Amino acid sequence: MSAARKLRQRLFRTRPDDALPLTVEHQRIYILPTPRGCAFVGALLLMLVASINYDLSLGYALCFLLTGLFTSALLNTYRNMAGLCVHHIEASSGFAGDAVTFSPKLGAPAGRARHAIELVSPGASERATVTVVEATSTASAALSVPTTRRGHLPLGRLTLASTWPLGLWRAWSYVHSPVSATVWPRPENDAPPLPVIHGDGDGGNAHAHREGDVSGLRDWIPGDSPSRVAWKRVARGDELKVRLLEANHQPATTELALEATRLNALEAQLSRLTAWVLNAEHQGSDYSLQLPGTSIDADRGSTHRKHSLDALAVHGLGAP
Amino acid sequence: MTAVGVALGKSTRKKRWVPQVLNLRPSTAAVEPRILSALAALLLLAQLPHVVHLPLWATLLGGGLIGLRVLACKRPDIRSLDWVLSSIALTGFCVIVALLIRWHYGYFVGRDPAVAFLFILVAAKFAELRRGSDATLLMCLASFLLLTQYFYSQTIVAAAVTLPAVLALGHALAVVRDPVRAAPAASNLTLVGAMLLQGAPIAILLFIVFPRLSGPLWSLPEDSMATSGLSDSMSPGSIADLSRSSEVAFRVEFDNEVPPKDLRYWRGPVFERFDGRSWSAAPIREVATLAVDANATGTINYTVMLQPHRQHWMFALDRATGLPMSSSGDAKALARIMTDGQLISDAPINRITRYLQQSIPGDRVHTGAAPGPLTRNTAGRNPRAEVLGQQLAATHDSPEAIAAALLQRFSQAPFRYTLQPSLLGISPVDEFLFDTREGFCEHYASAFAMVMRAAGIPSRVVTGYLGGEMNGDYMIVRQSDAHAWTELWIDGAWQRFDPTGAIAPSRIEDGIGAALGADEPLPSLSRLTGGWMGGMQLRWDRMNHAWQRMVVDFDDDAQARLWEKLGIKKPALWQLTAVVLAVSCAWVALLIGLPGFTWWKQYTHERRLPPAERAWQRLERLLAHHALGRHIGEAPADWLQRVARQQPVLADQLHALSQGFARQRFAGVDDEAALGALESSIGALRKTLRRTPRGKTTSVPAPA
Repeated sequence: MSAARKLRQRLFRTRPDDALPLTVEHQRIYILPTPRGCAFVGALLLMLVASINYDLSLGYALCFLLTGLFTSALLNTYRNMAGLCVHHIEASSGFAGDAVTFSPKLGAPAGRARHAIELVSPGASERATVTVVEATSTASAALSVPTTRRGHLPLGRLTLASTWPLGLWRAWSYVHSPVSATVWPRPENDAPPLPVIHGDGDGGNAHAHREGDVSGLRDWIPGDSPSRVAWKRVARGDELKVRLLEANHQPATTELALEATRLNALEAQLSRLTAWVLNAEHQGSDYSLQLPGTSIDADRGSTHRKHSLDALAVHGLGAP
Repeated sequence: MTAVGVALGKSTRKKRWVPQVLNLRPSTAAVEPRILSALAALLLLAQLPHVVHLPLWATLLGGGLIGLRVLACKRPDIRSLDWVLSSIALTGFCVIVALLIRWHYGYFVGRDPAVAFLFILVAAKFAELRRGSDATLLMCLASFLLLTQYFYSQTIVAAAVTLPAVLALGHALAVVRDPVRAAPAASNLTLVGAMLLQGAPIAILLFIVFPRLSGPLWSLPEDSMATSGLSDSMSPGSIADLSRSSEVAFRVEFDNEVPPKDLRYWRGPVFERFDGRSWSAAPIREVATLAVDANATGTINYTVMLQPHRQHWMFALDRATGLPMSSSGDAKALARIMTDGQLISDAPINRITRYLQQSIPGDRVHTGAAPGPLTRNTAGRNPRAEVLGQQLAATHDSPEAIAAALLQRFSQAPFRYTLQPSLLGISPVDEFLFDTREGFCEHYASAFAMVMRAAGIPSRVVTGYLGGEMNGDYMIVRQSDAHAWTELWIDGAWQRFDPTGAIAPSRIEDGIGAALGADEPLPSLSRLTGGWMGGMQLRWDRMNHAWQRMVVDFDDDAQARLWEKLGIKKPALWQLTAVVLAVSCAWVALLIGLPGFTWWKQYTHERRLPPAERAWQRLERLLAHHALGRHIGEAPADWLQRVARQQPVLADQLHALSQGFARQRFAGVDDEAALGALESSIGALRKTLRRTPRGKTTSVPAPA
């Protein structure tokens, strides 16, 4: 890397190189007077000139007292930003056309509360503000970014800024972390019904399982009954899993693939597949997904749905 | 249909004959009430000190506008307020106010009218406040308004009044920054107070080292600033008026001995011209040369701190044996001495002037040539007094005898010494001498000088101050000490005669408070010779004097004295800049804790930990320094084992350490010896690590 590019990276963080958690140190804090700060300096200069001209000792004193305030504001604005920690940035997924949310989690480890941190990202529709991060605690902000296309949507360079406490100075800092949200293809409106259905759709067939038989495990999500948690696995140190209970009837299994859409354009195909994934979830049928290079076995549930949608989102795109 | 009709009906009812284009309605909703109240507090506090000197109508208008705007915010239903507070109405209002100010002051371009206009303008701007940028402008204007109060007063009180306003300014800034989420006023004020304290060192440093100029940058049209103190003429009642003021005329510090009370005649304007009623200075005066007698005994050296009186004269104890010298290093004379013994400064005394002066107390003044014809002129308007003078001349043979006879007359006849004499008519001396027989020092001095002229003795009136009160190590001379006395030309010199001494001897010895009856309208300060009230007053003046000396008088002279005292040459501008920058950096470092926030925090934090815990922290830091730091979530024992795997050289030592800590932690072995062992193990580890080449440490991925 050339020196110029290194310098540019250091100054403006143009590449997503920052690893989280990241503590905002003095190297990456910028601070400049706000327009109001400039006006304040102008007023101070005017007051100084008046003091000089009329030889007002107390005029000098007032002028320098306010200069002290101005300087102290500089320091406090800086201190408000320095040591601020960006713990992680959570990215929600969403369908193209909707907005995804990035939630940076800020922490104030240095034992001081932080105030009025403003977060700006290039794509976000509006800036988010964290009013206060209590000392040795964390607070989250939510940056809503509108989407247009499927794929990975990088957050881009996040700007943390603050004019606290007096609005005379603005301190800011760039954090460019390789965080991106997955944007799923937009589901086709009024998609045709699900294609081929494997297996028998009727409920009372040969290997009907008794209600209550465990058919598998899935990730625990809030709201699941504790009685369905696979406690044995938890005891072994695994994550919370919930036992999936076999329904009385064997649900239909749908095989989803690009060809099944009978469309030509890739985006349209993906859009229809997305709609089908959602429909299949809705109907409670198992579905598998076959994409060139990716194959997801038949299943259902939120994890499976997410895997499928993620596969659809990034299909045919390079690495993020 | 009906819905549309209703909507139309509403809009037509709301429609007013005022075109909306003019935007006459102040959108009260656009400005947050919190901004409004914070700014209102700031403005009222900034206006407060001006109430003293502004005409009452200006104060009422300025305060009233702020009140109206706050009312308009509280009660948006009062429609007439929208009109009153519209831009157009306020612009018209400002024009009218400008005219009023022009009428009141008699001119517009000058300091006082400008301050009055600024006072109203700030209030008017507040009244039509609409946007956030307006708030910025308003805060700057308020700061400037706050400064302008020092044109009028720079006392401790003035400084104290400023502080709440500065706090209010900080609060307003914080509220304007984010009116919705701003902290409550109390915590804002605490914050601003803390910030002011943080900024104080910078402020004090700047105050001390900022170079002071000795003159103004540009001269403005001379303001018709009210002169204070003695005037350039004396007519019956003028000194009596002055005596009602307890204002300080000047303060004096004596180098060693303080002159006795009856010799504290501070010479001011000298009047030779008499028109039958009032006295004034001779139109043409010449500069005298002082026959300085350096070896004269009884010379008193002292420093005068003269309050600005916007006139040309300076004061010295009679009789001055030197010219007033500036007190800074470059000793230069600030004034000349005239043939009548008066000190005339080169420029009007518009600021507190500090000068060194020397005098030999005495009642004979030698300066100047023989008396001119003016000193014999009786003006011919007081025939009875002239007859008296001629009679005295006929019956006594020496000037001293003539003067003594008249003084005798003053002390015997029913003459009364009072601040409130009857008014005098066309022949004031006659009426005073023969009819009313009551008067203040100027009546006596005037009559005495005139009668002496009628008796053929050249005479003149000298005004100045008589007395002065010691307060600690310095003397206060107040306006109430103003006095007038006479000088007669006897034996080739001007001899002082104080006719007041004949009628009220206690005036000279004990001051004016003792000489006047209790019913006289004298400032209480002149009467308070003792008691706790008097003590309090004097203590207050001592504080004021110290304030004056250390803060208000801190000008280029004082700065030069400070450098002298510190024994350094006057620093160049770049040196001062360097000092300020260096101190600022040190200040920042002190407040933030350079380098970085970590080590100091860590240090102070660790100090509070138990010793074993501290040793453990040191071990963690040591290994982290050698890229063997503990991973997040890694158990201490696991970590040491991992390090031992990575660095087999250290395995034994680490094992021992691990054991030591475990014993210490779990078996409760917590004695000095165990701790010492731990410390020394860490020391040994450090040495081993230092010998181990860095490259040999292989990084192992963190456990998932």
